[in-house]
Amino acid sequence: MTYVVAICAVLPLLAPEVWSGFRLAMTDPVLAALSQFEQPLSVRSPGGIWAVGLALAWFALAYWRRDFGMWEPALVLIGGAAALARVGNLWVDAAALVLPLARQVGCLRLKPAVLGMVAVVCLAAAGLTLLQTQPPELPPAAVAAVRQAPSTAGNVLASWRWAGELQGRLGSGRAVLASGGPGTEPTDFWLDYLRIGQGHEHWADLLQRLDVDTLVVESEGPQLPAAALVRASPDWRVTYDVGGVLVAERAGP
Amino acid sequence: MTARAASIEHIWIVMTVGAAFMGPASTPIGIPDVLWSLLRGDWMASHGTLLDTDPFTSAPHVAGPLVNVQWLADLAFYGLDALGGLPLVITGTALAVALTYALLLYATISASGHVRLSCLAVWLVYVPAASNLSPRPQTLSYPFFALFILAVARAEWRRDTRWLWLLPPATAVWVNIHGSFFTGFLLLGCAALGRLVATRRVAPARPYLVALGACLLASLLNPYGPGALVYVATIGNNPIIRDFVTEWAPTTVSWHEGIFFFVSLVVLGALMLKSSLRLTAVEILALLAFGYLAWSAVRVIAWWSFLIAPILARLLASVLPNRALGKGRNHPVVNSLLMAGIVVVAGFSLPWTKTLVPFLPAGKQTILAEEMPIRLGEYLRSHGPPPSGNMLNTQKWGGYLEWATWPRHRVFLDGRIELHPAQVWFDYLEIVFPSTRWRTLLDKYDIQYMALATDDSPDLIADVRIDPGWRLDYEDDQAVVFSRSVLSSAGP
Repeated sequence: MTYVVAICAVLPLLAPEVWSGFRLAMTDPVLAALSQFEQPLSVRSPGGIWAVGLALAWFALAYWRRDFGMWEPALVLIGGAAALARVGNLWVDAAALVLPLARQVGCLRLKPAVLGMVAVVCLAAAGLTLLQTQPPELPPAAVAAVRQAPSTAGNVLASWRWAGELQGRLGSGRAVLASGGPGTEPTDFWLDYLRIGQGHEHWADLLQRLDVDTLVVESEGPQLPAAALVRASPDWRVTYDVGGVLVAERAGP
Repeated sequence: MTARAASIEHIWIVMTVGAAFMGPASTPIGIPDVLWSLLRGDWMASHGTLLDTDPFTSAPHVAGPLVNVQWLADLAFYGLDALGGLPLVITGTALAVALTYALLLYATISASGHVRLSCLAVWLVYVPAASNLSPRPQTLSYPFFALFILAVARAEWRRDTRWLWLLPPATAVWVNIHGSFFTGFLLLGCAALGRLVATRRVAPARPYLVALGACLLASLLNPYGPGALVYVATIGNNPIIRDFVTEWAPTTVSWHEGIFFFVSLVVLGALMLKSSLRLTAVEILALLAFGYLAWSAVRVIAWWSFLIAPILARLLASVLPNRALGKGRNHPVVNSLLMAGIVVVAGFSLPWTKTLVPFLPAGKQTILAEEMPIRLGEYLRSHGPPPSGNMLNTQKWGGYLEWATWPRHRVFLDGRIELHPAQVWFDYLEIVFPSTRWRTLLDKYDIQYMALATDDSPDLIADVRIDPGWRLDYEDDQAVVFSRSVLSSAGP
């Protein structure tokens, strides 16, 4: 039962990775500007307070009872170090915390009803974290708008959240940039991606350089400036603009 | 009555306080906050009144009178500058730092009862705070916090509550020096709550509660009354400060201070698990409260480091074997000579004498840090502004440029984020990025010339260089100055 409770307790740490993927890496300053999962863990990170709370809970129990094996702090330290290095590594922290937490909770000899209540609270927290970290969805109509674009020679530049999914739905007929995820493109690409999204003076030149003729941007999120520029530009024709998703195709040279 | 012979313990103490002095005394001014502090102090001294507007920046300001909770620090820095220039400002700050660590050492010795381990603990906690000891109002507030720690340590470990009486008058000064005075309240609150939790009775907590109440009343003794408290309570919620000012950013391992913070957590945790000593409820509550604050904002790590010194020393004393704590043989004459040597070395760390030290790194030999745009300041001082319009400057240089060139030139922005509406900051960021609106935004704020850091906005500089509407007036390896080829008729 205590192992079930410990697993429930670490579930909120796994919730963000459901969306971002279970990847072990160090933080990268450019990717960190793209996604909070690529940032080092802080008080504002999704699951950050929960992660520190769990480590603190283990510590409080171990300190109070003075009964712990050396492997316990070692696991807590390894998990904590991985999470501090990058939020997307929280799954490592979750895996590392299960055994130490289970052992300390087990030593408390709590009643099954209390353990059950703790498990329910943890499951609720996991569900909440899952909902809070859910990225915006790419509607099928937006994918259809991309498919209907007449030009197929150039690349598609999509929000990094949708690039992989979009490539899967479009098939090999169209090339979606960065469809392999944040770790698959060089830093220079992501710097240009950020410049385009934030409405840099030379956004149009950057898109030319990347040979992009179709754009799929988050029009109510971090790419709001780019969406505004595309709407106002005579060189782009908006084919879909609903619910925070904008699809546009190149109309001019 | 005979004077006490110099012991090895005395050497440890002198070495600890001396080292705390030498660091800031030998370090050039690198944070521009003190420069606008000097300017405000100068203005207040010459006008004989407090500043309730901001004459130093041209960007639109938030409505209402300016709240300057650090007016006394401004005047103190100005006084030092008037007496001995920037070297005396640096020396005065180093003395405040030395006083901080002297009080902290006394508190740590009071808590642990062991001089050498207390010195070791103070050295260890010096590391995370070392990058936060530059001359600025915040640094002048450290001795006050150290006094609070000392008062609580004396009350907790020596049953000596007399130091608590010093806290209300100290608060009355602190509230006019810097907005960090609330940390003293927090510490007293933790102490009172800890006693309540541990004893389940009010009486043991009463000295802290009385001191806390008196400190709260004393904090009203400032020109703004409760307004100073409101200012402190709201400043951290300013979205621009929270999201764009690096020292208000949450602590992560991206910062070396952050790494030190997390290492300090691991060290404290390991010692707590290994030691047979049980920390008191007061200590645990203080660790939780200040630990959370330090995790929330990088700048709070300095206060965290001060707070943990007595706890660290107590834990070290309980973990190390007695043999390691033993006393060596005393040689009073040698000890006296060693202490004199430390004082002489401290003397060579002063801004006036440090250049005599042959092995001092080149970056430490100046009064102002190399990052300061000194040549740009000289250029602007010798060249007047256009007949109308404003200057756009790289924000990080605002403090230096206003100190070096005001009133001939007026900077657009400096580091006082709260003075300007959020939209001004968003517009500034769009300009230096630059977005497609940078020309429109320059017109909006009637910018007629720009003083820019080459490493901060290379894309904007590249665009301005080829824009026929702008002319390059000045360039060095740090900075460029552009002015309009034809004066823009647009206004704010």
